[in-house]
Amino acid sequence: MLLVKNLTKHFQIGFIRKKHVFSLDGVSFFLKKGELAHLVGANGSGKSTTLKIIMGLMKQDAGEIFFEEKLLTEKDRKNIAYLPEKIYPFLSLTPEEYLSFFLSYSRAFLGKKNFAKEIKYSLLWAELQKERWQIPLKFLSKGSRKKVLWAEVFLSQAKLFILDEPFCDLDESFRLKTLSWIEQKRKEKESSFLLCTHYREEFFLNPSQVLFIENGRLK
Amino acid sequence: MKNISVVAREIFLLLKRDGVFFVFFLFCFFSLFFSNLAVSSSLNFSKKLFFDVGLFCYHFLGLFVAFFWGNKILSDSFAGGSLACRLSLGICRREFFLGAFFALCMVQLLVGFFYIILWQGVMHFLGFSWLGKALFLFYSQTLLWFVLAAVSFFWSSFLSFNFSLLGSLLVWFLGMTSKASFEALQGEDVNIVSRGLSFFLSSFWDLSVFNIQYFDLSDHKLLISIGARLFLQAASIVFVFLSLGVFLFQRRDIG
Repeated sequence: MLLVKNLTKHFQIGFIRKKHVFSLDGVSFFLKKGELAHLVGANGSGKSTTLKIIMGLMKQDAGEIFFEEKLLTEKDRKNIAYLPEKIYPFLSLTPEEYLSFFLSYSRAFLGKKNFAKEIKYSLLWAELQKERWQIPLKFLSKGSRKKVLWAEVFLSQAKLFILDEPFCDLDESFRLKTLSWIEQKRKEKESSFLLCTHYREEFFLNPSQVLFIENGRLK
Repeated sequence: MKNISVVAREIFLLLKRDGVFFVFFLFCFFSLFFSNLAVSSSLNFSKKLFFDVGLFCYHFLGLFVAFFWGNKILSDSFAGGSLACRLSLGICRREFFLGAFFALCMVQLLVGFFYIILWQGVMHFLGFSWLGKALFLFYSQTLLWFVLAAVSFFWSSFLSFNFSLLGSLLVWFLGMTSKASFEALQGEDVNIVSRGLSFFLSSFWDLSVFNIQYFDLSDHKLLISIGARLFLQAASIVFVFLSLGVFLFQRRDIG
């Protein structure tokens, strides 16, 4: 499903006397349909950079990414769901508005009634208290914001889920719920997961492969 | 096209929540305050004086919206992660850029529309006649607003908020003074490079053309031809800046 081939990215600072800061060096891996891979590494090892390049947020200096055997394009990213680590966007929007815009982007023809139904269902699934549905995200706690992002992932009909530190800031009961949701999705063999993590407890998910990254290189 | 319209709606809502319409109330207050000052300090209070105060405030109203919010939209979306989230949904950067620009234009149009209605109301209340053809001056100023919004978007496509705001202000100042500088150079013994540069700036980047106060507003045909020329000029400048902005925006890393 996802083939990353020889991904390379150099970071430099300074205009005239350029100083090398960090490199991602020839990262390659292959993720099959229905598989779950863990991308593990210390802080600053290149995990998030790899994910950002896959999501098109950064341009690689060299290397290619293939999705379903074709070169990954901007439009293909509709089939990839991304849960960022510490990003809480559009803080002026309420959870309902945030998810409504998400659906407007990702679903072609869905009436307003169906929008409301789906949003309600996903927010209930995310265990976000009803009185918070119409409060701007900036007034919600970190954990509640993360739950809204999880509701977005839940609504997504993506084939590949890229989750960057998906369980941090979550309470215990919801963490278990998301773990079982991932398990269930894997059993259906329709979706693949790429998890970026620091925590060992996420290994309960029994990954198909573990990718150790250190100083920008896969070990 | 669908994505652009959804981005525009989303950014419009964010701008509204961000208090962009507050600036409208602020300028209404200032314009009424200044006009009151003009009334009390002038010997022969005329419609012209009152109108000029209104137009002056209108000019700065759009300028503030274009510069502050125009530069803020992209900077915020970079810093807050909104852009990262939207791009991960398969929205092209070009679509996000254009959608955000249209959202700002929508805000400018609404702000301008309400300001003109309010200003006309106040003038009517004070016993002056309808604005009539003088509305044309507001039209040319609104075109200038769109140009300045495109300038802000261009700078913020590759710079952070402070620098893009500074860049926009400097470029605006250059545009307002380029023609006067070129005319001052006429007859002076200056080198060909300075003269050439000055000529280029005074022809392409002359924002004073949007200030058409001194034209004869009674000539209907002249007004139409000036209006069409200004529209074409504004559209071409907006096109150039947006194209450059999209080009640079697509090459920027989102950290």
